[in-house]
Amino acid sequence: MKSFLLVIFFCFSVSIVNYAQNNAVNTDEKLVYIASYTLSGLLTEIAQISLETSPVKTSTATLLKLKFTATTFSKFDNFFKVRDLYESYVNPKTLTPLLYKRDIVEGGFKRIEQYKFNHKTKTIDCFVHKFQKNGEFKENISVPNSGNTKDLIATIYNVRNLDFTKLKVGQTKSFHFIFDTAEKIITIKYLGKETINSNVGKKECYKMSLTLKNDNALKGTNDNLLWLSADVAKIPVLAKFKIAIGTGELKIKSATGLLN
Amino acid sequence: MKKLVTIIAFISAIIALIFSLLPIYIIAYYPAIVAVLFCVILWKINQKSNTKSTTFKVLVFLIIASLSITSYRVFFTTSEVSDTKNIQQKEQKSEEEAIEELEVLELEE
Repeated sequence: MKSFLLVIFFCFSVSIVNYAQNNAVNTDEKLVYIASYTLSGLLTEIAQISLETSPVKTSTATLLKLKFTATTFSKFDNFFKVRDLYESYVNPKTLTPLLYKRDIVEGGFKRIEQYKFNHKTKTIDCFVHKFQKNGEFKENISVPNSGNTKDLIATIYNVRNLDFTKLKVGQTKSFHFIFDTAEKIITIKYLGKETINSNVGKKECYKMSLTLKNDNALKGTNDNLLWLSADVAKIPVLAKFKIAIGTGELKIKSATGLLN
Repeated sequence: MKKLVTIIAFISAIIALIFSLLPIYIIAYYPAIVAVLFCVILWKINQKSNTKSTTFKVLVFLIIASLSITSYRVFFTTSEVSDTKNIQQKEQKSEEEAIEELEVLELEE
C-alpha cells in the first residue's frame, strides 16, 4: 500500500523550472479523485484522494497551504485502513515549499515526518517519527537542497504551471523531489494531446508518461501515464500506473474553485 | 468423475460466497463462473444417470447466493468515506503547529 500511495504521487508529480510563477493554482480549490486498483483483472475502487488549497496567514506573510489526503472507503477500513495527511506550506507566487508535513496511517504502519526548507542555507531539515513494533524512533537529518528540490505536494501543484505550449511531443524533463528523507529523480515525457471523458466533462488533455530514475516503484515503459486538462487550471484528470503488484488508476470525481 | 466435479463445484461456490462478503467482493465472479461451469457438467452427468441429488440443489443455491450478493454490491452500493473525524482534528492541530514553525522560516528570494 505504501508503494501504491507513492505511485499515486508520482502520477501527479512533475516539476518545473525553479521559482516559476504560479498561474494555474487558485486558493480555496478542491479536487477529489477516486483511486482504483486492479484485483485479478477487475478494477476496484479503494480510496478517495483529495487535494485542497487554502490561504494561511503568519505574522509576516500569507502562504498557500496545499493539502493531500488519502482515505480508504469504509468497506476497506476493516481490511486495510488508510488515513494519510500531507501538507505543504508554499509561497503562493512561486509554489516553492517552506514547510512540508506528512502524517500517515496505513494498516498497522504509522509515520510522521516534517521537512523545513531553509532557502538561505540551501538545506532541508527533516524530522522523522517512526512507530514500530519494537518502539518509537525519532531522528533529525539535514539534507542538502540542490536548489530545485521540492516536496511531493508542491511538486503535484507545480506540474500545473508547466507551459505545455513550449514542450514538443517526445520532449523529456527530469527533476528532483524529496521522499522518505531521500532525493529522487523523476522524468516526464510529453506525449501530446488527447481527449478524455471524465466526471467533470469531456476534457482535452496533455498526456505524459512518467519514469523514476533512482527508484523501482514504477514499472514498465510508457505504462505510467498522466493526463492534465489543457486549460488554464491544468488539473490532473486521469492517471494510470503500473507497479510491481499490479496496475491502477486515478479518476477525477469533482473539481471546485478552479481558475477560469 | 462425478465426485471430482462435485468437489470442484462446491469448493468454487464456497470461495465465491466468501469473496462476495469481503471488501474485494468483485473477484467473487471468478470462482462463481468456475462453479457454474462445473455445476452444468454435474447436471449433465446427473441427466445421463437419471439421478436427482440434493447436493446439486445446494450447489445451485450457493452459486445464486454468491452471484446475487456480488452483483448487488457491484451495482447498488456506493463507495463512501467515513470515520474522518480523527484526520480532521489532526489537520487542525497540525496547521496550528505549522503556523508557529512558519514564523521562523523565510520565503525564498
